[in-house]
Amino acid sequence: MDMLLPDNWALSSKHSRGLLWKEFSENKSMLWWSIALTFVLFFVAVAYAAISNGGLDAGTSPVTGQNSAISAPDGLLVVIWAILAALNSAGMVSPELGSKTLQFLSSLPLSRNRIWWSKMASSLCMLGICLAVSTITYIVLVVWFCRMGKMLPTYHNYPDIRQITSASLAYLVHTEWSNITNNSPSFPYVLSIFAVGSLITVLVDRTITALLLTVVVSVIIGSLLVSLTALLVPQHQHLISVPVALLSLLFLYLSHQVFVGGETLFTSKRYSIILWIVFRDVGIVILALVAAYFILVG
Amino acid sequence: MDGAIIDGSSNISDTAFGSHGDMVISGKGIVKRFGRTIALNGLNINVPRGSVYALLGRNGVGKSTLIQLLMGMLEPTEGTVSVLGLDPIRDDVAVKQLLGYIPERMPMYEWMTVDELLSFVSGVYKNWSFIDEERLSQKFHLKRDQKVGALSRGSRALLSLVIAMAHQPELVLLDECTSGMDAIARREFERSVIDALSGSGRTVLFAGHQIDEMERISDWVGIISSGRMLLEMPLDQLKRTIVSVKLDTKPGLPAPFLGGKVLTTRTYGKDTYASVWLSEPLEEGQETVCKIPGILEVIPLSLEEIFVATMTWEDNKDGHAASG
Repeated sequence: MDMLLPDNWALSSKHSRGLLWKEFSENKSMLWWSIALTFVLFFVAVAYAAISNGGLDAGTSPVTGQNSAISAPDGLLVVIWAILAALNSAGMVSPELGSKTLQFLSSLPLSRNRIWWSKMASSLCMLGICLAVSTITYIVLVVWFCRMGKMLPTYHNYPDIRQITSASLAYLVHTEWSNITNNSPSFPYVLSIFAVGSLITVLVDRTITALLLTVVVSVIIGSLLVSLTALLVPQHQHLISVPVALLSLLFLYLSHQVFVGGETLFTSKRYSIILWIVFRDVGIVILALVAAYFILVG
Repeated sequence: MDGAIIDGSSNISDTAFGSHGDMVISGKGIVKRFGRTIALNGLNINVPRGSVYALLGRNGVGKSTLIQLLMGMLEPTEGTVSVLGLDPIRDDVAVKQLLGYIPERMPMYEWMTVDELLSFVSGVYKNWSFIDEERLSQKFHLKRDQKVGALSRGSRALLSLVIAMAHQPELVLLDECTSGMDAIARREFERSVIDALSGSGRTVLFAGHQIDEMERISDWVGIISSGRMLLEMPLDQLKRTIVSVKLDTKPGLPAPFLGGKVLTTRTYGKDTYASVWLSEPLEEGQETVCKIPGILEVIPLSLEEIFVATMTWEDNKDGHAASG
C-alpha cells in the first residue's frame, strides 16, 4: 500500500512543484482543445437542432417546463466530458513514451511513484479545468445563440434559452443529481473512462492510438456491463455502478503498477505485470466466491 | 597484479582489489533477459574509484543495457549490481542523485527553453551548483532563451553535459554520446568532457565506438563480448598484455607461446606479425627491448587495434563463446 502513496510528498514539495509545472506547461494546449472541441460540437449540435425543427431531443426543459431545442444539452455535454476524459488520460504518459522523454525523466532522481502521482494529479486537475472550461464555453455559446436566435427559424423561445443559460450550472447539477437517482450517473462514468485511459496510456506510445483504444475499450466494457446487469439483475440495474467503480479502481491500480514496475516501459514486463495482477485478483475473487458458496449454501 | 583478465566467471574483486570499498561500480554475474533474448549473460564489472573507464563492445552487445542497469532503469534478471555502494533498483533516487548520465540520444523536452529545462532539472537535485550551471552554459555558448528543440545535435549533447555535471556527481556515465556527431562537434564535445572532468577526481564510465578518442581519455578498459566481460584492466596494463609481435618464424607457424593466446596473424612480405594476448603483462619498457627468442620485435598496439584483434579472435573461436 505504501507504494500507492506519494513518497515523502510533503518533504520534497520542490520536486513535486517542478513536476506539476512541467505537466501543466506540457498539456496547456489541452485547454485550447477543450474549448475548441466544445465550441465545435455545440455549434454543430445546436445549429442542427435549430434547423431541424425537432431540437436536440425536443424534450421538456426541467428549468422552464417548456419545449426547447436545447432542453437537454447535458447529454451532449457528457459526451464532450467523456471525450475530454479520454483525451486527458490518453495524454498522461503516451506522449512521453512516444517522444521518449520519459527516458530523460527516468534518468533524473525522481521515483517512478512520484512521477506517476504527479502525472495523475495534473491530469485530473486538467480534466477538472477542461470540464469547467467546456461548461463555460457551453454557457457562452448558448448566450451567443440567444443573440443569433432571431436568425434561426426555430429559435423562437428566446426567454426559455435565456433562463436555461442563466441557470445552466445549477441545471447541470440538477440533471446530474437526477441522473444519479435514476441510476445513470454520468460523471462517475466519465471518471471510469479516465481510469481506462490511465492504463492504456502506459501501454501505448502513440497518443491518438491510446485515445481511440480508450474510447473503444470503454464502450466495450460499458456495453458488457450494461448487458450483464440487464441480464442478471434486471430489477436492480443501478447495481452497475458497483462493477464500474471496482473496474475503475483496478485500472488505476494496474496503471500505477505498470508504470512503477514496468522498467523502461518499453519492455514486455509491463504486460506480465498486468497478467499477474489480473490472474491473481481474478483468482482471489473466484476463491472468495467458492468460499462464500460453501459457507452460505453448503 | 593491479588488474585482472576476466573469463566470464571469475570474480575480479576477489582477485585484484580485495574489497568492494575501492569500487564505484561492482556487478557480479549480471544476467539480463528480454523475453528470449539474452542481453547480458553473467557479466562481471568492477570500476575503481577515480578511474575513467572505457567500456567497449560491438553494437548490440549489451553496453547500453548495462548502463541502464547501473542507472536503475532496468532490473537485472540475475546477479547483483552495486553503484556507489547502493542498490540502483532499491535506492534508485539516491543513486541518481550521485551520478550524471549522458546517453546516445537524450530526448529532452523540446518545448522548453534551455533556461526552463535547467530550472526544472535543478529542482530535482540536492547538490545543484548554479555557479557551475552558469559557468558551463557560458563556456558551451548555450543560449538560455533558445528552445531545446532548436538546438543542434552537438549543442544538445553539451546541454546534457551541463545537466550531468552541474549537480556535482561522483560518477558520470557516458553512453555513446558522440554518436551521430560530425568530427568537429565530436572533438569539441570530447574536449568539453575532458575540461569538465579534469582534476575533478570523478569516476567516469564511457561507452562508445570512438575508440581512439576513448583511448586518450581513459585509464581503464573493459571489453564486453557475447554478454560477458571479456577483459577488464588498466589501459597501460592492457597495452602491455595484448601486443603485436614480429615473429622470427615462417608464416602460419605461430603457436601459443609465453602462455598466452595468438589472436590474429598477418603476413607482410617476408614478415609475420601476430597480435598476442600474453598471460602476464610485459614489464614497462620491455616491449621495446624484447629479448624473447623467436620474437624480433614487440610493437605496442593502439586500443582500437587491441579491440579489433580481440573481437576477431572471438569471432574465430568455435561457438563464439566469450570465455577469455
